[in-house]
Amino acid sequence: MATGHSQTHGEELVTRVDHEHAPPDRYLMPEFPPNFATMYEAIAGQTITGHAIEIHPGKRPHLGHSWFVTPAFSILYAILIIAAIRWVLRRASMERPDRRQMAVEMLMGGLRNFFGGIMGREIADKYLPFLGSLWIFILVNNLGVLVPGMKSPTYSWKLTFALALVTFCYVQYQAIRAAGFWGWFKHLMGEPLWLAPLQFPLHVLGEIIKPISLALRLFGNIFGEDKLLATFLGMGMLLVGGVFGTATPFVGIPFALPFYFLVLLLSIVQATVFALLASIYIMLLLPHDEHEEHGGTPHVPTVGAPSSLATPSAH
Amino acid sequence: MDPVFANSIMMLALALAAIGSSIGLGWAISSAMGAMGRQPEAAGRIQTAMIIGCALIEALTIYVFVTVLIIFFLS
Repeated sequence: MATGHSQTHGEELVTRVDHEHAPPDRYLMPEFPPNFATMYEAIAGQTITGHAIEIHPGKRPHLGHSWFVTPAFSILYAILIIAAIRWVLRRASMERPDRRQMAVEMLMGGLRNFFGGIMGREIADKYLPFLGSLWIFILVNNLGVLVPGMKSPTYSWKLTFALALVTFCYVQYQAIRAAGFWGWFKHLMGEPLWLAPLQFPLHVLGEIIKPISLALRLFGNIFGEDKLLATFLGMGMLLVGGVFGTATPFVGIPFALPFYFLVLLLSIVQATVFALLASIYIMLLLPHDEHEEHGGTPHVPTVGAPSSLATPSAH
Repeated sequence: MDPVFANSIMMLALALAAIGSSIGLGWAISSAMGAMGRQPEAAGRIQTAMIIGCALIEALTIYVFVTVLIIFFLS
């Protein structure tokens, strides 16, 4: 497992382990919190070479290549959660609900109330399958870093941009389905029709920028959290390594422990914000006369308010 | 340019963005807290609007962070 530097001297390829010139790895910060692979490498390196921290000589403990932190693995998380929820709800009974069914119903009811407070009950029930699964998926993927030996799959910009792309396609599809193609196009053209050459590029640009800002926000937050944890882990390793000579990634975990609570809070907030902004993007693109009677958000301009006063409010 | 100097400039940019964003966040949250204290029955809707606003405010810092990362990895 000692991978050295490869240097070409003329024709021959000389592979050697550069122990002397490489800086010792305890002076290098880890890039991410440790996962199973690097912990195994740390333990195995300790037993083999006697130096705990020298995992790859001259290289940082690099954690980016494990298969279980790639975004493909996070789909497995989602499938597991959906399978668990379906398994619980398959044995649901109205007469004698058991504990698991109560938990799932609390989760679903909480999501329904949350989005119902924003969009109004009827609209929220229509879009709840997408928004709720988006929330659960992002939350589980954000919380991956709390398990020692894993990191959040959303630290990667690829996953967040994929989520934003899915959100973009879903929002546009629902807007076209609700208003019809010409209604959607007319919405992009803007209200006074003679300003359409000015407003159409702005609206199209706004529709494209919204998912990009969603993706960048999620990526930046989760990446920053992972970097924060890794930095404090590395500071613990530096401290212990400076006193005792060697250090494993385990000794840094107490130093990073206060920030696990911060990560717990921020993960929930970021998942909520993603789903919330997705719901607001749906609401902004819906035809205006459909949701004016609920008055869920202050963002939506209420066109034709007197007619909405005549209809009884839904809630 | 000296890479240490360039790195310090990027750190300074991030710190400035964090300062501005924290001022905005403090203002928004204090206003929301005051509104919730005056109208406790509207606390849910105020909280939702506050979370949206906080996300939009702190997105600016995140944009600076991402920009700094891109410049750091490209240079």
